Amino acid sequence: MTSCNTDSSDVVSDQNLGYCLTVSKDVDTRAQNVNRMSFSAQYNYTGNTVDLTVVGVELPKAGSSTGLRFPKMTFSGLAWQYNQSAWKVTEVEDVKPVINGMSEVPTFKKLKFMLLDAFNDGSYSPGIMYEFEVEHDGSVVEIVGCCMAGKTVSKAGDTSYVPEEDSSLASNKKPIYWVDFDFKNSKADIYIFNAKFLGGMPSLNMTFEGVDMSIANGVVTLSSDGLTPMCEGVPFPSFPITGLKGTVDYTEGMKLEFHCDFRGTDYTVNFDGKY
Amino acid sequence: MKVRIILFVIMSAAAVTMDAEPADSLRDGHRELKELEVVGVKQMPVAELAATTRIGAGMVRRYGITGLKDVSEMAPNFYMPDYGSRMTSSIYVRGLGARMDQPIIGLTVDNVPILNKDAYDFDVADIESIEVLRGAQSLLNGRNTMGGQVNIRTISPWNFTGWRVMAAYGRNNEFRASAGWYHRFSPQWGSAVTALYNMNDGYFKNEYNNGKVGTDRGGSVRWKLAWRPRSWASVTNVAAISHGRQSGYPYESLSTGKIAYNDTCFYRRTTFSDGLTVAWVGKRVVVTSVTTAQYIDDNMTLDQDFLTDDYFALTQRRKEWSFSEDLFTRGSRGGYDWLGGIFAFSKSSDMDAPVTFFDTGITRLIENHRNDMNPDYPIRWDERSFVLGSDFKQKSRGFALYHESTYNLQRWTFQFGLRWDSEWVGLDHHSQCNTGYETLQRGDDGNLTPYRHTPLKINDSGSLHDNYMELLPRIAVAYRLPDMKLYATVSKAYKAGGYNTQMFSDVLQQRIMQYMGMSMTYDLGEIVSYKPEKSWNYEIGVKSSWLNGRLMADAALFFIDCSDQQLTMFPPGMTTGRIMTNAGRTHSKGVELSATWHATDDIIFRTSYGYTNARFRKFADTSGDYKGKRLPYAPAQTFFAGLNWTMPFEIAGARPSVNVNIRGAGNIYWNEANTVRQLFYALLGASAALEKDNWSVRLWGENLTSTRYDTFYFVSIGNAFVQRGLPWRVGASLRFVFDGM
Repeated sequence: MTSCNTDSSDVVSDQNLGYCLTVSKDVDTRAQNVNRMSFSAQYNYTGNTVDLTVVGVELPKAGSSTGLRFPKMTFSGLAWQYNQSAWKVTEVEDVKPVINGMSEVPTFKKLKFMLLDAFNDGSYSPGIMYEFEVEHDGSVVEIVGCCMAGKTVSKAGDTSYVPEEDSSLASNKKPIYWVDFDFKNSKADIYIFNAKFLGGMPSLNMTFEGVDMSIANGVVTLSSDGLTPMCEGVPFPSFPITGLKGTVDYTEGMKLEFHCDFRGTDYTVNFDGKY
Repeated sequence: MKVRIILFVIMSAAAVTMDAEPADSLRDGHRELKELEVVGVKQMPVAELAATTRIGAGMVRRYGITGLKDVSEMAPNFYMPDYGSRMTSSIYVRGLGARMDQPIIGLTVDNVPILNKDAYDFDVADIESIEVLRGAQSLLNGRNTMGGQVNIRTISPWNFTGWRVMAAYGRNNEFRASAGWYHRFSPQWGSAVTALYNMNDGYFKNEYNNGKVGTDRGGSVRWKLAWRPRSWASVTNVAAISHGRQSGYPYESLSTGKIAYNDTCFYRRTTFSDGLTVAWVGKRVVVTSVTTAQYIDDNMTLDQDFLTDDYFALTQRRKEWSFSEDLFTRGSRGGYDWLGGIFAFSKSSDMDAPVTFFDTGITRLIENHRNDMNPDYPIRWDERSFVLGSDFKQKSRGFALYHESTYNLQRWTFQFGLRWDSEWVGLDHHSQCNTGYETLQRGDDGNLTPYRHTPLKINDSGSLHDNYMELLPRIAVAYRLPDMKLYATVSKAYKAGGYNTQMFSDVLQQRIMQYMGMSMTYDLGEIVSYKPEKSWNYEIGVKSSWLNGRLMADAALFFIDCSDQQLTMFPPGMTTGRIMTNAGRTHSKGVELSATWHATDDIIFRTSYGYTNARFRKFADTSGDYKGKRLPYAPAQTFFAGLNWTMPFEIAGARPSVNVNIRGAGNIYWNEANTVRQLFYALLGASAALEKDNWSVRLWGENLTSTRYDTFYFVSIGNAFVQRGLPWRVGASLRFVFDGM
């Protein structure tokens, strides 16, 4: 938070929110890239509107790690409200930003931006989550952030594998985690982009759906006794997940542990990720 | 002054001649001024201060040389293996070379530079001389000459008038015929028209259909028009057209020892080139302009897996235009000689390269790969063959300025040169695919029911481009002793960067897997583009003459420090394409020895030996660290020895001669890890000829001991293949020369 403006009758705060790891995926071409986006937000607490500035929107290009990058874009007067967990939630549809010098701008078919004002050791450490669905030039791109990167350790007996230390993977092909919280139903979906738990396994985009979640003191606790992961909307019963437990702390990141049974071998997977 | 310049040219040419037979060479310096063609003048000062192999007309005739491959091993450390098709032919010099895209050696025919390496393998009728300059030639010839320069000259109407006819026939229906008509219409106009036809039925068999593979049919016509409007001006235009078709690719599976594949393989090529050389000889300066236009239209169709299974097939169709202009001047004043010029080129290529996936490829590479991971929800492709389409437009443009100064001070020669070279390369690419697959659900009873259908429509396009700029200096020093010259050179060279289109089909395959949730391994920009290769070259050498000129002996030591060397590699995974990557750093050092000995007027012995120790100093990829390993595909040694003896008696009024020769190369490592190699091998050749003034008959044999060796190795979707060298061959040739007609 950088300022509170009380010059007018409205209560307004300006917040600059740092770089957030983001995954963008083209729904049709399945092209996917990873980059960082940053935001600044001016919340009007009287009118419950927010002016949101987004930097770093990049639509993926098939076959390439770099995509179509847009200049800074601004959304004005978006409505927001608190949810039951004290997040400031903006959720709108079919909005277009203003981009200086551009008349043809993308359409945000869906814009969901959530901010949790939090402090860590006296410093402002907000929690941020966002989901966009962007339509441009016939393409539809799903964007999710803030994602987490860290270290995944898969162990089976004495054998361990760390994909983040696998030199055959480019930096934007390493595993990235994102959690979609359903505060209303106390459920979460865990997304693992470029999931790779074994040396010979191809990188997959996996989703663990319907994980139980609870919140206490700003920390989210995740758990599931057993689930079938999904990959591009198709269940993968050959990778049953059991004993899942984890925590998400918006001042730090996520710790996650689960078991994965692949062809009769039990793998214990531990992830320690930061925002 | 004009006389002095011309004489300098003649004497320079004489100094580099190595295989002299007086009737064939320039070394006696007795050529008439008016007969001299002012062509290739740019090369001569450099040839004095570089390792050079010159092959004259006599040697061309004795060894039946019609193209670059025939020169392999004759020049030390010069290796051009015969494999695949005329498009895939590669040249390796002193450890440098690449299997695709940019060459490391430049090539001119009658001063016309051949701008595409894929057109280097061709037959030429009536070669008068071949000059192989080894070591960096980038100062005067620019990009893609870091290994050297080869200049081929054909017979000129200024040197001969009349008819020359040749026919040869050998084992396996190997047939070659050529005819050349050389005429001088007037003291100012001359013309030469030559035609060549060759065919052979191939030496290998495809055991799938019992058909021959490696067959070759082709022909070419070349028309040289020469005009001397004044004694101080010369205009020469050389136009050539060729067409050929080969059935290809006699690749043998290492695991089965057989050549057996079911899909069609062939390579068809049509080329056209025209080169106009205009020279003006002034009082102290010679100005030369070489303008060229070249066109290639080729089609390479491959069974890309080279198996009897239906995996996939590739068709690569290309049309390419190239233009170049080289304008240079040279002059002399006292002991100072200079040469300066401007060079520009433009190349534009349209390529269409679809890959067709067939049933086995779909099953094993896509369905099985995916269903192994999720047998409860397997996929089934909509059809049993589909096309991954790719088309490209490649463009490159370049411009260069160069200068060389030579100062002769008594026995010393000092030379300094600098070239500024700039290049722009671009690639527009478009890939498309329209197919789909069904995801099925396995029930408790094991039956499969449809779960959902996924259409797969890929229509990707993009552009890549890059700019390169290089400064290429060269310093040389020479010291003349009676019958000996010592020289030392330091020079910088480079090979252009660019884009390798071979990997597009693998990138597309990965795009298909992306639809199933699998992340892509390859980034297009990274895997398709490669950087320029640069080198610093250091050489010392000696050229000597002994026994009143009967023994000519050369020796050279070289060291090449190369950064970002371009290497053809097989990327990880079940792929078919090859990537061009840049190795961190390589060193290549070695020695070259050659000698020609006219033991008597009737006995000539010629030998050459090259040794290269070329290794990675810094190169690692996901498969390993290759520091200290030998560079693949380039032989560590090359060897040639040939003895020609003209008998002291006559048969039918002609003196018979016999020739025995050995050529060899090796060890050749086939991969960066040096786990597979071809050991040194030697091939025995011989011929017996009866030769008179205007006819000759020759019986010849090659690889007479039928040595078994490999010329190429590669891996496709995890299977290793080799191409065997040609077995023994014998044949006969008949030649007629009709003077003055």
